[in-house]
Amino acid sequence: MLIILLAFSILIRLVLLTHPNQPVFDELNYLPYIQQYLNGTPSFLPHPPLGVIIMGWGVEIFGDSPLGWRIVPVLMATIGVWLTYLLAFKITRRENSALYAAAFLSFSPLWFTISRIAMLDIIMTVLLLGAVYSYLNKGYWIGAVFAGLALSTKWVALFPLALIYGLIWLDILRNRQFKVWDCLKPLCFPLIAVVIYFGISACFFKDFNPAHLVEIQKTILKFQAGIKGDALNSSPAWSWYLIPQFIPCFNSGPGWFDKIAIMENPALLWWGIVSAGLVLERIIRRKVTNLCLPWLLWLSLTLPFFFYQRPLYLYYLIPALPFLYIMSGEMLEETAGQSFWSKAYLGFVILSFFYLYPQLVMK
Amino acid sequence: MNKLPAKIIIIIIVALSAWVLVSREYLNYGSQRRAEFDQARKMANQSLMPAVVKIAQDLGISEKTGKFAPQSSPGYLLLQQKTGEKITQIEYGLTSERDLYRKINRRKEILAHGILQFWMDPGPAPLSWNLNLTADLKIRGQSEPAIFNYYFAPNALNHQSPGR
Repeated sequence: MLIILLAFSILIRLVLLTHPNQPVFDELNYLPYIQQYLNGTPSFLPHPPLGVIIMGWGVEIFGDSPLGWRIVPVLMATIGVWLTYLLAFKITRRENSALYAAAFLSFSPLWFTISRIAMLDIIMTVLLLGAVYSYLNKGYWIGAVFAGLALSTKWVALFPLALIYGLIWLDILRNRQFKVWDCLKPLCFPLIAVVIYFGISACFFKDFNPAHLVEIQKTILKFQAGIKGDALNSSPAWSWYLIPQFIPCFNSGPGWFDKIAIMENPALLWWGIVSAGLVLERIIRRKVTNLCLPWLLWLSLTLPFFFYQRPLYLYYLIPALPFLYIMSGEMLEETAGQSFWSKAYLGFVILSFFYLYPQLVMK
Repeated sequence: MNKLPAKIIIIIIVALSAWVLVSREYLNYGSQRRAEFDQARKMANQSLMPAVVKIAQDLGISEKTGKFAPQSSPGYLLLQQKTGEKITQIEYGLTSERDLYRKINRRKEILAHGILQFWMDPGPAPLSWNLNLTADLKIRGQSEPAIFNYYFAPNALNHQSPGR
């Protein structure tokens, strides 16, 4: 079933991928950076550079074309569905819960649309999922590598990674593992991540002066901190879970017109919120600990946005979606089981995806 | 939660979601919005963009690339001279191109060089124009370039009262 889901997931993303054949939405921001990087003249960008490097691979293989721009996010989004399944299965030990979680992500209109645009969010989320999965399998070293890669794509990964780091220390204290080797692993975790972070930045800019690299980080911070006020299509974080803001974007030129709709299915978000509440109840009252991790990770990727003093957009929700849908899948399986109602809900999610499909593929 | 409340919650969520997806503008923004979009773009081409070009020229910023690059957002104008080192953001609410000119002109003496990027996107209904004038401009004294964001209502382009 998983293979069918993954095959279907990549197929629906590849259909009409080259339409529109012009840059859309934030591709207008990122494509010049990719082109400059490939031309050997990288310029400052207001995010760490790994996303641009990875998307550059697509352009190198498939050329400076819509397929080249978008193929990497498409592949990463499908890997994200697979990793969500693995994570959900690891956490819940239930095949159906894991399949539900993977299906919710695969048929999420938000995950779908952003995965077909050359943007950083999907790439960062998948690298973060890799770090979380490595942590769950006690692979601290590979987890540290994924952590460094996720941070090198977008800074928002810092919140969940700080949480993971705290959990690593908590495991050591709880298990009373105070041998030098046991403590070395968590001590090396941030070190490896930081070395990877600055290593990628140095390679991107071909500048190995530490002072310059620190200066670049300060400039990114200042840029991000300097974005204030309201902007069109922005929406406060609390509204994302009520009625998600629809983001219509238009592109046009002589003789052509394209539109793109960035949205999420309210049914997914509302069941997600109900599930998060149910999970919290199980954690507090029933001491169900296995669901702590997705709940905390979801919170770490949602709560910070409530305090941001800058324009926020619905697609900032992307990194939280896998963890939210892991909880959704588990709660659907637990409360509705294999009843008609769980199938009806999943059917509605899939049906509404195809109902929205023409908007999502910009036709 | 047993299966009965789960059933009720799922029914409520599915029903409400179906209502939202159908009743909101999710599927209806195509043709009507396109007409509004084309009209607003026409207005922008005729009146606003020449004004911005003139402002840029008056500020001594030479046009290196751009005009209306058809491959990008409508009304995309990139006037590039030099990049600045630091960025801050200043926002104004504007009501007319005259206001736009006045506010930029007031800062004329502090503008030295930079990138002037101008692009427009139509917003959700009621149609409003998001006019982002991103000026990576060096401000004398502070040595900080600035990003200017301007928000328009479309009828402001006709010098009518802003907003609707």
